[in-house]
Amino acid sequence: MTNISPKNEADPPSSTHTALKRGHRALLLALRADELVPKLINWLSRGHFAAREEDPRQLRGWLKSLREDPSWAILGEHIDDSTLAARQKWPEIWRRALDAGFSAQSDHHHALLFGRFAAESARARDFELARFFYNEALSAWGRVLQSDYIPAWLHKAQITDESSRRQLLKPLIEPYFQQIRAALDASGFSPHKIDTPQAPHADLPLDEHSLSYAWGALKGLTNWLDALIDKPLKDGDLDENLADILRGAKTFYQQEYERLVHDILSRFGSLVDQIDLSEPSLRAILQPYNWADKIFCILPIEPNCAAQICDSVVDIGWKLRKLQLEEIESWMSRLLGISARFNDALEAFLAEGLAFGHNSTCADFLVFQGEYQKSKDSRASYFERAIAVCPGHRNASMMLSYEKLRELSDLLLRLKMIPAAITRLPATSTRVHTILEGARALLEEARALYPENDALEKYSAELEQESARLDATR
Amino acid sequence: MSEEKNPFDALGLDPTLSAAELTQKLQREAQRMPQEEREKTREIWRRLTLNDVERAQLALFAHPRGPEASADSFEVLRAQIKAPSGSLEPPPLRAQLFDALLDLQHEENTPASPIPDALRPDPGFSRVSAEALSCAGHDDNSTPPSE
Repeated sequence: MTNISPKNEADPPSSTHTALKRGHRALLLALRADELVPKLINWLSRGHFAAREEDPRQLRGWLKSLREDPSWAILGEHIDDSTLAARQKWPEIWRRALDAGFSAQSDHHHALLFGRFAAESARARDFELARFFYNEALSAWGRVLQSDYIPAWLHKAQITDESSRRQLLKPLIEPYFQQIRAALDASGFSPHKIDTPQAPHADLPLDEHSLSYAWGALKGLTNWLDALIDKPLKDGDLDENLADILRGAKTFYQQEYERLVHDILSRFGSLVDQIDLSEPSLRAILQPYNWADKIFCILPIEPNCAAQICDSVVDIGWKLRKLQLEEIESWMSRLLGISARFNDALEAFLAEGLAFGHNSTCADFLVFQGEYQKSKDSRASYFERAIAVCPGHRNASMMLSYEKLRELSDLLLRLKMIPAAITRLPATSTRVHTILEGARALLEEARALYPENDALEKYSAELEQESARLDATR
Repeated sequence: MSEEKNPFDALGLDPTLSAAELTQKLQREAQRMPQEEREKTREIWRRLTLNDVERAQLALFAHPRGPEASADSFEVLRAQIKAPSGSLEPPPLRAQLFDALLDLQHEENTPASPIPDALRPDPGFSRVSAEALSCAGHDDNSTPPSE
């Protein structure tokens, strides 16, 4: 047999060899992902979600990244353990893995996956679970943004313009505003429905759970943005790209929030305009205020909201008084009761200088409230608050003036019951003197508050008479 | 909240591809697609390349993907490691002088063309060649001729 040695050719071309090796690695990764990604999804979602059909293919990068992380030593050890005990230990395992460290690329995957779980939980109306996953997503995004990953990513993706950076986090924010609008939509909130008349006697439906979740998510997001903006990176300065991203997100949030509040108030205004006082009905009158009350139990009351709602209450209040309804007292009590929070907020905003030009409205509201209080102390306190908010407020001054005279009247009644002779006793004389001083003070206060008070002369004359009878000196 | 599929994830594209790279890649892929899918791909191409803001957002909210973490099917991956024809074929066997000289030790292997004695290599060469062959691990049954 001929021994023929092969020609001493060079090794196979290196690029081909490299390509083959890469191909082998890709296939091996794909096979591993097919097995491990579903388990990882199950673990990451705390057993609540299964992997989607496309996940093993789409998340090969996640597995590759995870296997290169220090945390894989911890995760990999437990991944095949599906016992109940292991599941219960998962929060601790996750915490240890976090401490061991994930790469920013792994955390990028985690942020997207937790966001997906949050969205799926919200769709299933498990808002507590959704909140948990949402917070995990924000934590993961925070780790990503605070690393060097994003600047490198931006460079690689050739995202160089400021406008793109400033709107980069919009998909993190926009869905929650959409969810809020969807929660309000049942009550005819859509822009094309804002002027649509509603059945006047029906309570307007509102998905309060969904609204509460979405607002909570947005509040958490703004706190998270503020924390990132305020916390400088390790070199003491916020990376310029990151600054654009975070501040852009904050600006977008602010714009969307203002637009939302504007639309809510437009809808509220439209509902108030639909109130027909020619055939007044308490349910119809309360409908817009009940709606606003439910919304602003969840969303914060802004100065413009408080002002608009209080304006409308005062306006309706005056119109109802003109109608001279028999039920005016109970109706006003109900209307004022449901909207009192807004006036309290308006009063605080005025005191802090956050609202302007609504002092008279706020005082009118307080006067209305005072009128329907049972006790004189309560009445007086509302009128005093009204004067404090709007010094010189005519109605408040007048009402407080009459309250002073009412109190004076009580004192005069007590004085009239005192026989003149008893004032010769020293102790009694001092007490009578004190009462008379108090009465005179009340009269002066009433006069100062409202000089046009037509009861002033009558009480002044009575006081003079009693003073003379009891022979007290001024 | 409705969940619209991210086109980077749906098509298994690397989100960090630039607009130009996306155009090249989608053009190549579209050539393999039926007409209906080409229209959809064209729509995706417009979304991803004509609006930088939208591309950036979609890219950040798509799962990162590296060169070895493509979303190709198993069939495609297996085809990539199949040796391309000709590139790893063993090199053609070409007899060299050394081969001929080695072969001369095995007279039984060259019955058809006996070599005249005057042309045979000297015994020293045969010894050296036998030693070399034994070092290479050949099962050399022949015993070197004694010197």
